[in-house]
Order: sequence, then structure tokens, then C-alpha cells
Amino acid sequence: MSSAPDDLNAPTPESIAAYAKRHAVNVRKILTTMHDHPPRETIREVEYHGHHILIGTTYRIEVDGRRVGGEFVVTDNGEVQCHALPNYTFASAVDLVKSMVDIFPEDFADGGHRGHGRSEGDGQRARRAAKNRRAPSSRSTKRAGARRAPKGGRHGGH
Amino acid sequence: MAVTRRDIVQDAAARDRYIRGVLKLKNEFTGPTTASLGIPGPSRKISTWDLFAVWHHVAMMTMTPPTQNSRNAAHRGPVFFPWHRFMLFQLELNFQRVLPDSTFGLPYWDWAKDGDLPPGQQVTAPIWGAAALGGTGSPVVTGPFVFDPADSKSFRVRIVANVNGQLVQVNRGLRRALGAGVSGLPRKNETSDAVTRKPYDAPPWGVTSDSFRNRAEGWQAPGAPALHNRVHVWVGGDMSPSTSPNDPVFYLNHCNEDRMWERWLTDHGRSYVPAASAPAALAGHRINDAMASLVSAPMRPADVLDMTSVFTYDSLAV
Repeated sequence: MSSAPDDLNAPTPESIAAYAKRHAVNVRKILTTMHDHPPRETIREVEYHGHHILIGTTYRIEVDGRRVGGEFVVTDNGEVQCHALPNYTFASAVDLVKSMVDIFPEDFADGGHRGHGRSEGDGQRARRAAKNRRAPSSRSTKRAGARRAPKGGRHGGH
Repeated sequence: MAVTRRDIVQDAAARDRYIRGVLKLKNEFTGPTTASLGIPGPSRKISTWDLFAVWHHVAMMTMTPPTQNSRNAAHRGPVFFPWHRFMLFQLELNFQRVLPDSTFGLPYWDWAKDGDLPPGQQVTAPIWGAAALGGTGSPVVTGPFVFDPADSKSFRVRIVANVNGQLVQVNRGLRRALGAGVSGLPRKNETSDAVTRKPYDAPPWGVTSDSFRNRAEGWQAPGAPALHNRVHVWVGGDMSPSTSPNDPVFYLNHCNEDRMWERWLTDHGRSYVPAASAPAALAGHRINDAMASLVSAPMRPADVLDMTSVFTYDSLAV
């Protein structure tokens, strides 16, 4: 091992607190900015018989009409992975989402009305819009709906 | 003098010291709070044990480079082994501090030995006994890490990553679903084969690399999730998300992985790639790049290639 600060080899409660404090700004930045962008596209590129092939993939995943955020990855051999289940790999995105439902039960509680950070999905928006079109008091309903965040909050937006 | 890391199933004293250390670190609060680290919800003190789980999560959410969404600061790339060796080293030092016992070495779980058992016997193997890590359940109801809401000192999970990969606060018991996510643990023929693989790592430096690192991490087909990844999936529950260090079995898994790396280094030479001169796209994974820590000064992969003066294993037979 190379030479290093003493507390690298002999941590104390004080040194732990000091390092946690020193890194707090960066941690807060990582924890917040990781959700400040749209889902990144997975790019797969291969050369084949003199041709350059590029495949870009993004996922839109909804459960009970609410969008599931986070990052989804497609490997070069077509398997699907996600940041929420960092050690898993799936042949199918359907199987991936089923595992999410099994492993994060609280996030899918009450039929999608209590999830942590899941935002309203396109399917739910479409259903709500159709319902509003049918409702006689649609004008007031729409105004209220436009102002109201989905139950469970909106954390991700990605 | 170097400490010795031992098989937790074979050494009851090492096992008991590990359990005692877990509970001490779980109940040590040095000052950091959820508010200071930007974790939503009421401001609560974070234990030293939980800080390690947050550190792991932060590394996992740090993409290297940030233009892609697969390789991160601790996984899916060459730094997988050095980063976790660094984490184990810091945890080991903290065990030595709180026990206090300067001879303490982290134990490992030789999971491939259990993987050679029939699947039905794997879930009742000695490591899951009430005197060891406790069993399966949501929450776990046997062993030293059972949650008792009335006992503030009992083991509990306080910070987890949710389905979106965001940290949230909870107050509940530890969860495991042994054997539910995949049919069996990795087997001995897989570990013994992995340590023969060369090179250490190779382009594209990710989950499709044909290399020792990728095979041992568990992305490489056939059988993926395999080896390290398969252990996470097989245990399930709190071993599933990026806050998997919540479960004390996390470190036993990684100590066994580190033992495999030590075997590889012994057999093939204490070398590492990519070199310091590798392109910037590999920043965070090159031999002289800093590995950030939440609880200590940083280290580099170069610093951890030979730690035989710090720890050794009782056996490198994988």
C-alpha cells in the first residue's frame, strides 16, 4: 500500500463525520441531478458487412398508469437491465418490471396511487383526459387536475 | 501484522465477532444526517453502517463516463474489484475500532460450497441459522438481525433505494427472499473456472467484456446473472437494490469475491488494466484514478493491488 493519511488506516468517529461533511455537497448533487435529465438512450453500434449499424433504445414503462422512472439499459446481446436492480439481467422488459413489482411492493401499493416518485404516465393522462371529456363538469375537473400533483408526489420526471 | 480473513461457516468466533461489530456500527452515529446528505424526509442521524450503504449507492449512481448509463464508479467495469476491496478495508478498520480488536478480519462466505448442495438445502445451509445470519422472510424473523420496533437497538433498515433508484427513509426489518429470484447459488466449477480467465479486463470494459472481472462480477453468459450478481439475486430482498450493503451478508459475498481476486492476483501477477494512460472515457477505472469514499480519504486501484501486509485469507481455494 502507498502512504496515506493516518485516518485512512485508523478511522475515528470524528474522521468519519468530517469526511461525510466534506463530501455532502457532492452527494447531494449526485442524488438530485441523477433525476434531472430525461432517460438516457442506450446506443448499440456494430459493423456488419461494411455497414455501420446504430440502434438507440429508450423505454417508457408504466404500471397502473403511472410512469416508472430510473434508467434502463439494453446490452449488446439484447438483455434488459436497470439501475433499480443493479445485479439483475432480463431477456424481457416485461420480466424486469414484474421483478420490480415483487421487490418494491411499497412503490406499487394501492394500484399505483402511492408509489414513491412515480409520475403520471401517458396512459393515465389519456384515461383522465377521456374521463374529463365525458364528465359534464369537466371544466372545473380539468382545472383542479392541472394543478394537482399525482398522489405520491412527483420526484423524478424522468 | 496482517489480519486473517476466515470462512464464516467454519469459524464461530469470527462469525460472532462479525455479528457483534455489525450491531455496534448500526448503532453508532457520528454526526451525518439525512438532511446533510440530501435524503428526502425528516432529518435523522445516519449510522456508520448506513453510511456505507449510502456510499455504495452514490458510487452506483455515478456514471463513468456520465454520457452513458451502464458503467458506474464501482460496477460494470474494471474498478469493480479495487473499489469493493477499498470498501471492505474501510469497514474492517471500523470493526477493529468498535469491537475493539485490532486482530479482527472480515469473514467471507464461500457461497459456491453451498451452491453445490441441492437447491432445497441451500436455503437451510448453516449460514442462515439463528446463530449465524438468520433466515429468510419479509422481514427476517430469526437470527441476530431481527427487527423489534420496541427495541431501538435492534437491527432495522433505515435508508433504501426505491424503484426509481432514489434514496428514501424507512423504519422496518431486514428483508430476504432466499432462492426466490434464481434457482440456485453459483457452483464451485464456476468459481474455479473464473479464476483461470485472462486478461483481468478488456474492451469494451463493461458487461460484455470477455475477462476475469466480468465473469466474476457475473454479467458474462452463460448463466447470467452469475457468481457475484447471482448471490445478490438469490438472497433477494434488501440485497436487490443499490443499497444492498444494508444486509450484513453483502460484505460476506464481497469478501468471497475479493478472495477470488486475491487468488487471481496470486496466480497471474499483481497487474491491473486499464493503465493510467487509457482514454478519458475510462476515467474512474484507470489504475491511478481516485476512488472516492464517503467515510475516508480516497484510494486508487494501484494502492490495493497488494494488501498482503494488511490482510490475508485462510484459504485461496475457490
